[in-house]
Amino acid sequence: MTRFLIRRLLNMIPLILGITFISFLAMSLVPGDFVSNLKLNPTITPEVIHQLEAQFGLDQPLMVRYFKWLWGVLHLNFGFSLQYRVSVTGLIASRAFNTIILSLSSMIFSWAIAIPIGIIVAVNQNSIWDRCLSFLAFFGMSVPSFFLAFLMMYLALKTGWFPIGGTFSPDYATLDPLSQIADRINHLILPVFVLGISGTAGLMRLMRSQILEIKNSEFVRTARAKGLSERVVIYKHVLRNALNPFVTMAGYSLGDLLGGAALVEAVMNLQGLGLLMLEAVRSLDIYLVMGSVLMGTILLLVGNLLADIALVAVDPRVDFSSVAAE
Amino acid sequence: MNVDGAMQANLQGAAVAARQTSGIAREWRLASRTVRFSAICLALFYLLAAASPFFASYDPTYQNREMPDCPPMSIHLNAPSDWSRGLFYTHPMHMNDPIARTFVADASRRLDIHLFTRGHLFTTDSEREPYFMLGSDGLGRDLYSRIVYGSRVSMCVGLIGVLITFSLGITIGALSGYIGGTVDFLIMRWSEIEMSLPSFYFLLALAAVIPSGMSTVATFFMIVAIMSFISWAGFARIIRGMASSVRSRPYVEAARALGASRWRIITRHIIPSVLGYAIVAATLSIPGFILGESALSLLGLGIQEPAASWGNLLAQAQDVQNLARYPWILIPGIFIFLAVMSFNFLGDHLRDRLDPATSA
Amino acid sequence: MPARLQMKAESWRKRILPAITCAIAVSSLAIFPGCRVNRPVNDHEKNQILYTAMASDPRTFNPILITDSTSGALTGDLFESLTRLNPVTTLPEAGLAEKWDIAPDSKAITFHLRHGVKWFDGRPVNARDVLFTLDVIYDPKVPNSIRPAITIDHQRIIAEAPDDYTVVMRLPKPFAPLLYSIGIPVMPAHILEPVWKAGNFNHTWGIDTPPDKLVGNGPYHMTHYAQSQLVRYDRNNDYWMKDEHGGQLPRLHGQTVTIVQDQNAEYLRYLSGQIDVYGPRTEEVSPLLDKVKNKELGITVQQIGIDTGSLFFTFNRNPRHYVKNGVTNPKLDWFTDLKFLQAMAHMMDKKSMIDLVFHQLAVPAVANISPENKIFHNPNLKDYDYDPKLAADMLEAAGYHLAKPGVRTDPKGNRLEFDLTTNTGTPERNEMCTIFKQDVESLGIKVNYRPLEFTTLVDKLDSSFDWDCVLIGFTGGIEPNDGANFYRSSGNLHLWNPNQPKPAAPWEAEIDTLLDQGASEMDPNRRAPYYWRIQQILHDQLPILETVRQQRYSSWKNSLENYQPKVWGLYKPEWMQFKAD
Repeated sequence: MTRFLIRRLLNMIPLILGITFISFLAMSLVPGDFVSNLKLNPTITPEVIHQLEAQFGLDQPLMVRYFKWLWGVLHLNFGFSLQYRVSVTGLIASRAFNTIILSLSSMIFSWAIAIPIGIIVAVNQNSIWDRCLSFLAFFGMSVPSFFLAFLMMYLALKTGWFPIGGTFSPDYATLDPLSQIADRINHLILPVFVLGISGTAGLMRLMRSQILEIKNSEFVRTARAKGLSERVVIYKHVLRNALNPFVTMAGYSLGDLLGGAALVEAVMNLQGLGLLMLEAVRSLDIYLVMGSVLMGTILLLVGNLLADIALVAVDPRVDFSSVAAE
Repeated sequence: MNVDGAMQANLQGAAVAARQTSGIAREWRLASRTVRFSAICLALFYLLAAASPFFASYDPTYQNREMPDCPPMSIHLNAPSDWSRGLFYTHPMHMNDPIARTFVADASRRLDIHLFTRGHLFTTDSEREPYFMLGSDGLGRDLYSRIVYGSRVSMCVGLIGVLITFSLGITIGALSGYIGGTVDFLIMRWSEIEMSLPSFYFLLALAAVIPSGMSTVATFFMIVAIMSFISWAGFARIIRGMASSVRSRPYVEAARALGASRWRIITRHIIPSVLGYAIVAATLSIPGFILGESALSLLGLGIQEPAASWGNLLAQAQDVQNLARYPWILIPGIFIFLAVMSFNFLGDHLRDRLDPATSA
Repeated sequence: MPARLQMKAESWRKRILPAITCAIAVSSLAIFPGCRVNRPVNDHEKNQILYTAMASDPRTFNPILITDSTSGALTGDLFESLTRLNPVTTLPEAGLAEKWDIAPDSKAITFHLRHGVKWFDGRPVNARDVLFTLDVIYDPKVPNSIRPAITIDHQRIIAEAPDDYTVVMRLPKPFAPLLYSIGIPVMPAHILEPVWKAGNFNHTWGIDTPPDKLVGNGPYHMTHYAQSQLVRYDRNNDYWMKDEHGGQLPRLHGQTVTIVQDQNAEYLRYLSGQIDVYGPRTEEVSPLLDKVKNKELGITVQQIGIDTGSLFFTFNRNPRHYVKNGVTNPKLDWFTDLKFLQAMAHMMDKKSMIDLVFHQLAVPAVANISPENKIFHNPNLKDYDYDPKLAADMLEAAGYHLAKPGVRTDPKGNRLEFDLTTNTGTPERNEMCTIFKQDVESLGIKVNYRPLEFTTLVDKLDSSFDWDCVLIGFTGGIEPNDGANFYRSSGNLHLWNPNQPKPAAPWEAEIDTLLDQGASEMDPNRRAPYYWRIQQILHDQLPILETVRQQRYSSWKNSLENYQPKVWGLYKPEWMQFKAD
C-alpha cells in the first residue's frame, strides 16, 4: 500500500511538469501577449506597452519565463493575474467556492436521480418504464447543455419563478444568513438542473447496463438456482456489485469538480472558475491560466489515485499490484 | 475517462460479436422502432450533406436584404386545375416594420413553388422572391438552405474526428498493449499527459496559429484533426488494456508458438478482437464531436460566417432577444439534437447487438 | 476484505434505500422554487440607491494606472479632477479648479483651486496634491496612459504652486488639448507620496485594497467590493457641490454597481427591475419601446445621440509586408490605387448594414469624427453612394477587367483576391463583413473572410502586419488630438502603414502638418478647420472606408429623476434622485 502510494506520487511529478510545460508552450504559440489587449488604445503609447511588458516579465524568452514560474510555484508563489493584478491563488480560491458548490450540487442532483431510476429501469427491463425513461435519458444526453441553459434563462424571464442568471442577488450582502443561503439555492436551481440533466442521463444508462450485465452473470444465476427470491438476488448480489464503478467514478469526478462548466457559467453568468479560465485564456493572462491548469491537473491526478484506492477497497477482485500495473 | 468503467464492462462480448456477420435485412428486423428511426434520420442527414445543392432551395449565402428574420412561410396546395403551374404555392411576405422586423403575408398574391426545377428539390422562380420554408436569418438568408449546407460540416465533423481518433487509438493501443515494456510505459505516460491537458485552451492556441488565408471550413477541419490527434489517448488506453489481456489468451499463445510474426499477431488477432468494441465506442463518441462543434461555435471558435454549420446557426439563439422574437432560429438545434440522439440510439443498439451480456 | 464488504440485503434496504430517498427528497426540495428569501426592505426608490450594471471587473482602483474603461468608470466618482467635460456643450468646465486663466502667449495656464474641498479623511485638497499627481504621471517608472496626453514635444509641463490654491502650468508651446487632457484625477499627496517615494506606487490601490483605504474627494466613496459581484458606494456627505437651493449634492444616498458579464443577463436584470438604468443594444430598443407603449414597466426609452467613435474598413498599404526581397506583391498596388479604393467605397452597402445589422438604428458615417463632436465634425463631406454598377465601371476603366464571369484581374493579369478579418466576439462586425464580402465578390473579387481573436488581430496590425483588409473600430473622444497616433504617419496606430520614418504620401505629410497646427491654436472654433481638412483628406484618399454609426439609446425607470444621459456621459449626475412618494 505504502509502496504503491509512493510510486504513484512519484509518477505524478513528470506528469505535472509535462502538462505545465506543454500548456506554457501552447500559450506562447498564440501571437501577441496580454499587453496586446491595450495596443489599440490611442492613449497608450508603445513606450508604456514596453514598460508594462517588462513589468510583467513578458519580454523574456519562453524558457526563462517557464522556469521562473516553476521556481515560484516551488515556493508556493503562483504568480499574479495580469488582468486583475492580484495573486492567482486568491483569485482562484474566491471563484472556486462558487464552482465547487455548483458542481457538487449538480453531482448530487444527478446521482440522487440517476441511480434509483437506473435500478428501476434495469429491474423492469423492457417494460414501459424502461422504454420511457431510457428514451428520456437519451433526450437528456442529446440536448446541448448551453442550449438548455438559454432555454432556462428564457423560462426564468417569462415566468419569473427563478432569478435570471447570476450567483446571488445584488442585495446579497444585506440579507440575514438564512436568507443568504436561500438566495444562493434559488440561484442554483436552474444551473444545477442544466448541468445535472446530462450527467443524470449518462449515469442512468451506466447504472442500467451495469445491473443488466451482472444480472446475467454466472454468480447471479447460481444465486437464483439456489432458490433465492428475485428480490433478494437483485438487492443482495446485483446492486452491490453494480455500484462498484460508481465508487471509482466519484474519484474521477474530482477532476471535473473545478473544470468544465465554462459554457453554462458564461450563459448563466455564474461567477465560477470556468468563466475565469475562459476569460484568462482569451486575454492571454498567462499566470492565471497556468495556475488553473496546475490546479486542475493536480485534482485530476489525486482524483484518479483516490479512485484506484477506492476500487481496491470495494472490489475484492482488484488489488494494488493490478492497479499499479495500469 | 468516466465511461471507462462502462466500456470495460462490455469488452468481451463485443469481441465475440464483432465476428458475427449478418445481413442488413436481418439487422433491420432485429432493430427496434427507435433504432430504425435513428438509422433513417442519419441516412437522411448524410444524404442532405452529399447532395446539398439539390436539397437546398437557394444559395445558402445569398442575402435577401429586404427580408431579415422572416418567419417560416405557409405552404398551400394548388387546386388540381392549376397543377400545370406547380403543385404548391405560398403567399409572398414583406416586412411592414423594419425596426421590430414584423412581416405580413400578401394573401392576394400567389408565389408558385416548383418541384425538381433548376437542379433543386423545390424552389421559386427567383431568389429575390423566395420561399423560406424555415424562415430566414438576420441577413435574410434562407435558414433551410443553410441547414442543408450546414449538415456537411456537422455530419462530417464526427466522422473525421472519430476516424482519426480511432485509427490512432487502435494502432497505438494495440502496439502498446502487445509490446509492453518500456514502449508501453512511455506511451502510457504520454497519454496521461494528453488526457490531462485542458483541451479548450489548446484549441484557442491552435486556432490562432492557423494561417489566415485558409477558408473557414478548412480551418475548422484542421482544428478537428488536431483535436482528434490529441484526444486518442483515452481510447488507446482502453484498447491497450484489452490487447494485453488478449495477448495471454491461448489462441494468441498458440499463434506465437507457431512462429507468427508480431505484426501478424497484432493485425490478425489483437485488432480484430477489439474491433467490435471500437465500433460501438466510435458510434457513441460521434455525438461528442457534434456537440463540441456547437459549443465551439458558441464561443466563436468553430465554423465562422458566412459558412454554415448547425452549431453556428444555433449560436444566433445566444441572444435572448432573438430567441424570444425569432424562435425559428432554434430549428438547427432540433437537427443537432436529432443527429446526436440517433447516434446514441444506434450506438446503444450496436452495443446490445455486439454484446450478448447486456442484451435481453 | 470481502467479509468486511459483505452487506446484508436487509441493511441495503435499511440504510442505502432510505439514504437515496432522502437525497431525492432534499434535491427535489431544492428544485421546488419555495426557498424563501427574507428581503430586508430593499427599495431602490425609498433608500435612494441607484443600481446599475457593469460588464467586467475592475483591474485596479489606482486612477493613474488605469488602462481599461471599467476601472475608469468605477473609480470615476471617487476622484475629482481639475476640469471636467460638459457632455452637452462638449467644452471643459470647472471641477476642482474653479476657474482658469490662459496667458496671452498661450504658454501658461493658471488654475485657481476651489477652497474647502476635502479628502475623505478630512484633510483639505490643495495645490500640493495637484503637483504630486503630475510628478507621478511623469515618473518614467510609472506606466500610465495619461502621460502621452500631457507631453508636448517630448517635454513635460512645468507646474508650480505660488500658494496653496493656485497652480500655474507652463507649456513649451501653446497646446490646446491640455484643457481636456488635464481632466485627470487628482491624488492625495499626504497618503500616496510616501508610497511613491518608496517605489511602491505601481502596486498601490490594487483591487485587493480595502475600499475604505481609497481616499478620494469625489461625490461617492466606495464601501464594498466583492469580486465579480458588486461594488457599493455611499455618498460623500462633505462633497463640495451644492444645488441651487444650497442642498447637499449628490442627492442619491448611494450606488450599487453589479458586475454582469453577459449582456443578455444585464438586459434581463433590467426587465426584472434589479437594475435601474440600461443602455440597450439596437435590437433591444424596439421591445423596450413596446413596453413603454403598453405601460408595462414604468420606464423611459430615449435616443441620446449617435456613436462617438468610428467603425471602418481599411486596406493594408504597408510596404514592409508586401515588398519581400525586392518583389512587390500586387496587392500593394491595388490597395494604394485610389480608383480601386473608390470602387470599394461605392460597394459599401451602408443601408443594408443599417437595416440588417442595426435594425435601422444607425446612420451612415461619412467623416471620421462623429457628428456628436459638434465643433470638430466636418459636415460638408459627400458620401460615396452604394452603386455596384458604378464600381464595376470604375474598376473596368482602371484596368481591372473581368477575365471570365466571377473572376476579375488587375492590369497585369493577377486575380483580385484579398483576406478580410475583424475581431471575434462582436456579431455586428461579423455581419458587416459578411455583407461587404458578398458585395465585393459580386464584382469578381475573391474575399477570404475569417474573424480572429482580438489579441491575434492586434498582433497582426501592430507587429507582423500580415493582413489585407480589416474592419476595426476606434472609440472617439472630444479632443481630436487624442487620435494623433492614428492620424500621424509616424504613429503606431496609423493602421494602414504605421511608424513611417517619413510620410509615404503627400496627403499623409499634409495631415502631419495639420495636426501640429491644430494643436497649437487655442480657440476651439479656429482649431476646427484643421481637423475638418484632415477628415476631408481621409475621405478623398480613402485609407479608411467609413461604415455606419449606431444610434445610442438609454432607458431608465420613470421613478429616477434628473437622469440625463448624453453620449459623452451623464449631465449633472449629482442631481439624480428617485421620486419621493
